[in-house]
Amino acid sequence: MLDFLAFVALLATLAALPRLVVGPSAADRIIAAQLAGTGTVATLILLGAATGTSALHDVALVFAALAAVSGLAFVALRSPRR
Amino acid sequence: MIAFDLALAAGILLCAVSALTRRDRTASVAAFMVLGLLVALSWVRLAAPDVALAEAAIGAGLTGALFLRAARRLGPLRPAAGRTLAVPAALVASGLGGGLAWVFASASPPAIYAPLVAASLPESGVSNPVTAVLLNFRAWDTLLEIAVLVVALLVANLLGSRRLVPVSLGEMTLPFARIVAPISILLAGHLLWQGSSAPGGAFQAGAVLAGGLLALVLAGLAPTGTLVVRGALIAGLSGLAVFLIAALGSEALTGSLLGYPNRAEKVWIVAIEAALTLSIAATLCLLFTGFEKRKTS
Amino acid sequence: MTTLPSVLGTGLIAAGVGFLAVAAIGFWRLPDLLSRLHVLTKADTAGLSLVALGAACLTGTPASILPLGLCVLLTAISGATVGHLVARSVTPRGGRS
Repeated sequence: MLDFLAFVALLATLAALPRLVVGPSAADRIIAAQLAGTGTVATLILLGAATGTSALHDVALVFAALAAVSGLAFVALRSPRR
Repeated sequence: MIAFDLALAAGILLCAVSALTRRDRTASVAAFMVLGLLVALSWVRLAAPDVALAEAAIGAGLTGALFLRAARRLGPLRPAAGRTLAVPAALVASGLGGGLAWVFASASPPAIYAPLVAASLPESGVSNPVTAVLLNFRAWDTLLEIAVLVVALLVANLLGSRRLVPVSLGEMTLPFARIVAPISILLAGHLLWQGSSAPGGAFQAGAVLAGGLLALVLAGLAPTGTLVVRGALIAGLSGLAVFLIAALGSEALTGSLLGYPNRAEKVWIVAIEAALTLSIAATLCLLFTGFEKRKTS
Repeated sequence: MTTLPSVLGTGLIAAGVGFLAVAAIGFWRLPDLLSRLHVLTKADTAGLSLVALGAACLTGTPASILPLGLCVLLTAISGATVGHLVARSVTPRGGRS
């Protein structure tokens, strides 16, 4: 059951890809990456619960901690001040 | 789980293709970020949580920010730039891929390295085999890796990369930075300490710490004076310095370079890793923010 | 296997994964950036916290509940902050009235 749910979570992660490729705006692509990051965290939690590996919690935590850095950097770099 | 693995592999290939073929820098960077996420998942599926953690810390979080910064500096992609290189690049890449496939196919199945590490693990002072290899058996390699980081820092400094003037992100970022920065310091300490017995280590801890620092910088909470930048530069260089001093010290104490004194191995390893964590965090931060406070014209 | 925590945990995880799946569909179907941001923040908060709550029910050790809780906190605040900033950067006058 958990394996199946992890698979669905992975599919939800991959479903952000078409939006990332198509866009249309740059912000669309960045939030697609953000959504894929959330899906990855969920998939990692589920894989950890399915296999009983607690090391995966650390991987998920690292992803969660760094999830917003590129989003913040994108917005901060967005309008060039020249 | 075979469906899981197939979907993962297809997603990785799709991400790689779109990262390479999109004629839009943001799309390429975003595809590369998602590629990092999926590759970390695939390391988890290959039962290598150490590598997954390193990929998560360095591949997915910070390289995205660094690439976005580089893309901003480079400006938009000129149409059809570099098209002439596509054919030779494809030839080189497929040659490399073919060579790797050949090596993989012809490799002898029983690995010699893993039993060797397992046999001498007790004398390394730590119980995590990855840390034992990186900081004890092959510490020389790690020393050279840190030297590469220092070279990157110095070259970026010499090129005079312009100091970033981020757009003010407003008050809504303040609570975010105030929550994320302490948690990332805590997480970095946890990863650093845990590195001796479980997946973790200096690179991961340094990258997480750098993420927290960048959140502070982007929220405008970090001091930005010239003195701070100079201090961060010194911190960035100090990792290599501490590693070299440790190498010379161990040479003087035991007669072999980076052969730590008996029964004190863990102290040496954790001390070196702590210095490396701070240095890696400072280096990554400086590579993002830039050095010189030049008024952008 | 059919104890109350395991049934509850699996149910919560299924609900959370359902949120993620709906978010993935909505992310493709919705017409503009702002409605897609709306989807993103729901997946970040409701979806992931249900998944983590379910996983916490299944394992039930304090050593796993703490990282799961931190995961939820960090992802929720990341999604909210990035969503707010991106939305502000695309609205005219930077969202200031």
